[in-house]
Amino acid sequence: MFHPRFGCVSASLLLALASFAVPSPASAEDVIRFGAPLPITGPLAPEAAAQQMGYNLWAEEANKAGGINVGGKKYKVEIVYGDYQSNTPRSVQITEQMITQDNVNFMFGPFGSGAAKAASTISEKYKVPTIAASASSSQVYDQNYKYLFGTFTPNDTLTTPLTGIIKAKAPDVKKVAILARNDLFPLAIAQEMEKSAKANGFEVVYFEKYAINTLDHSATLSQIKSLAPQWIFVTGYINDLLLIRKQMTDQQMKAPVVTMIAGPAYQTFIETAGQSAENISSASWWHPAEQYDGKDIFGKTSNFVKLFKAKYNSDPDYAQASAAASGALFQMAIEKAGSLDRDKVRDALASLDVMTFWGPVKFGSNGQINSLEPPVFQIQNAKPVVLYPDAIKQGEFKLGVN
Amino acid sequence: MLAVQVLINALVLGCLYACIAIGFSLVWGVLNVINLIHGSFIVLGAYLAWGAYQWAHISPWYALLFAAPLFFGFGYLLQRLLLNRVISAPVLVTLTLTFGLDLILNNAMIYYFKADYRKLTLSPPTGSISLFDVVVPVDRLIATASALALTGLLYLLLRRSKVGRAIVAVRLDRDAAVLMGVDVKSIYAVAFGLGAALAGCAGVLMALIFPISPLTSSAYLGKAFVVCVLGGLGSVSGALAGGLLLALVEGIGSVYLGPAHATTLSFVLLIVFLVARPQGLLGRKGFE
Amino acid sequence: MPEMQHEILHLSNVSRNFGGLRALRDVSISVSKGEVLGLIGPNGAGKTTLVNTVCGVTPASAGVVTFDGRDITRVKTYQAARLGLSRTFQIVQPFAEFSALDNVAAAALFSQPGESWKSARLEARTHLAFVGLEAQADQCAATLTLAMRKRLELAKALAMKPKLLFLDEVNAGLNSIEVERATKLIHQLAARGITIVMIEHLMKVVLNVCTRIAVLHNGELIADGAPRDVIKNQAVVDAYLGQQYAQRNAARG
Repeated sequence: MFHPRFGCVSASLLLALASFAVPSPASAEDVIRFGAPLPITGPLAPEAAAQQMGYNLWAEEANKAGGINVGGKKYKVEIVYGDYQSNTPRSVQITEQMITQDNVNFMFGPFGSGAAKAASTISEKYKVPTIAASASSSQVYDQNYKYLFGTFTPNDTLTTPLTGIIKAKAPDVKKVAILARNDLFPLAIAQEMEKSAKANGFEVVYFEKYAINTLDHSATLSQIKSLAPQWIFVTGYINDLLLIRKQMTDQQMKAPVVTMIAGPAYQTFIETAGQSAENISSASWWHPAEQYDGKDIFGKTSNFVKLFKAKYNSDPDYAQASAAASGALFQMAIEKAGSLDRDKVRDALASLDVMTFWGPVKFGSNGQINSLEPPVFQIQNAKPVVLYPDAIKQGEFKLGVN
Repeated sequence: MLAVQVLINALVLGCLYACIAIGFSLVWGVLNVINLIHGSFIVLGAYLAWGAYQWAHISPWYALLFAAPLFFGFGYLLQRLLLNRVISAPVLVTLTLTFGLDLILNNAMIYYFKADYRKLTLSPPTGSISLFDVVVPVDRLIATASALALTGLLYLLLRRSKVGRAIVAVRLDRDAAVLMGVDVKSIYAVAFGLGAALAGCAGVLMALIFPISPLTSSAYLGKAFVVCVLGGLGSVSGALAGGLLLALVEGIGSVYLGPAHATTLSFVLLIVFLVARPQGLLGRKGFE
Repeated sequence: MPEMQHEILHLSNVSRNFGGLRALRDVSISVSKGEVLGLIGPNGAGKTTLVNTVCGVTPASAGVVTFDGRDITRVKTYQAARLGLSRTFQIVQPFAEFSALDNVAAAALFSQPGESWKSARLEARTHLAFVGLEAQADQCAATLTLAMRKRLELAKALAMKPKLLFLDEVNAGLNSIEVERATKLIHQLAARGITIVMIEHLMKVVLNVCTRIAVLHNGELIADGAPRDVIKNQAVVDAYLGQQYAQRNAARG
């Protein structure tokens, strides 16, 4: 209702602060600038923090090795951050500002499918290669843009294996209730879930969207409870899911299967939800247990995990890994192109077909990666346990969320 | 039993809404000031409760005890020193002033606390109670009881005490009150201070149930505004009526139209009231 | 100088301007304790302005107002009320949503330090009884008739325990029976020792009740003295009373 007012005073203030925060390099030509607009403050702040950890780890590793090799000369990596306060229109403004005023060479997309799609119009207009580190909905890539790439596979690559596992391991599950945040990615994946559920013979007894920034879900949850579904599927971002989980507990809601996307992968979620996180299932695009042997700067997945742990003292989740992967992919493309020319780098990205710590990377013609096999996992004993694919399976599915 | 559960949810939520709105309603009704800082006062109160619990292990119930005088003093001074200067100016002037003050307060909170959501989790957690298939979380129940107690206290104050009677008199007819010997400037400051104290206390209670972040201040302000229009200004009964009506409409709307449209329904109701019955349910008849 | 001891209100060269309009011009007048002073004159003469100026509603542009030995020229309205200056209004406006009792109780509460709401309500009953409204005590003020509201107004003014009471057209809109009743009340008030200044158009009432008359015309005081003398004053006749009234009066002797 009153959001626009945050604009004038605080945004320009923060932007001014941000530009001062990034140290000016000794010689401007020896640096490659990557713009990274993020929701550093606001409800999506936890997600931004995760992305920053990934970007910073990559930048550090790249610079440790002397920088990115551009046709024989080494260039240092500099990441320019900007805070759009979890406000999508603001992310578009900041993207434009970074390209036209801050002289960035390349862009990382803002967080989430919604913002990534919105900002991509700008980067496409200025022909700046952009990798979206957290955009999975295929709607993001449906504008025929040539300069946009994404490291997440489409949503149905998560819902299909998930439905398959529930069908196989929980045969008594007949009714599904779906509650989605009215935002691009959460709604899109919920719609995929609905399709997948129906295709597999489940009855979808409830499908509703809740408004962004909703604080009270008690009426909605009461209604879901009265329908007694065996599978409750909720989408949103970490703060939404924590709130909904708490209010589910308030109403003493229990079900054999509860799936939440996207939040349970994060350590913050598990810590804050505590006991109530037990047996919640989820899916994501990557898991530290993967065993890829990549050609990127990190190489083996285990190496990436090791470096991450050393710097941050915790295991990386898929969001942090994706951000680092985006940086690593830029590096590979630039080194392959041997130039900082935007078109050449763009072509190099489009033609990538390589193994990385993130998984096999090949972008489809719309720019979205289509080569990953996303893992399904469940929180057991306060830890995410991988259930699929078999190659990295760590445990069996457990029924019952109280 | 869904109907009963939805009804109980609405009753509980409605009292919380009333608590959010009562301070706003008092200031609007008595001073004719639409206090746009109200939402930020609530959030500040929530931070106070959170901070007290986090660092000094002071339970929120005790936080209420020192939140009230703290916020009263803050509001009293704010009105006396700043708002009083524009009290006889057109409504738009006071609106702009409180808007600007809110910008300052809200952005200061974002700067110091960051906009991340914080949660006051009582340890051990209080759980829920269940009676005949109807479940109510204990933290909401206690917050509701406290909210009712606060509004009850305000009611008694307005009805029995000298200062309270003066506030009501000023609300009814400012000029007549002056002629009877009421120092209106002082009463304005007291009323604003009371409004701020009520907002701060509402914030302490909200901290138990909802996440705390400066970004929620506009949500609280929005609710307060709608409750006032629906229930009528300047009275405890108006705030209660408006709060209950809003919560009920949102709950029923959520069930029949889906949660995405529940808010739309409440704003449609707001418009209907503004057109057909602008004084609200209990309008001027809800005096103390 | 002995009159000074009994003087309760004194205006000394008081003027009040509203922009270019001079509503009060250099008015000097005294009111003694226990007097019933009638303030008469044509519409727009400045009678209500004079009352407003004394009560602090519109401060004097020039001159000094002394009340009970104190300079109250710059005093605020609510302070004047607490000092013992009370007034009624031409257009009666009680707190519509309050009962008659609560209206009077409010007046008692705000003007006396040390009152509580409870004690104010008890007191209010006696005042209501004095003006004959005890039966309407719990009735909503908005539902009272005009005559009753005027009496309520009087009860409110009394509840403020005034030393000096301004009555502004208490009889406007009342029929002859109601006027008689009101006049009786004013007599009773005077008997209690309350100094009264009444703005009044009904000469019958003025002559019946007032111990002295002052006449305002175009903001100026044109006559001040015993009632019988003032009504024969030619300037007063020209400005306000009119030839017909003077002739009728002369006939009566």
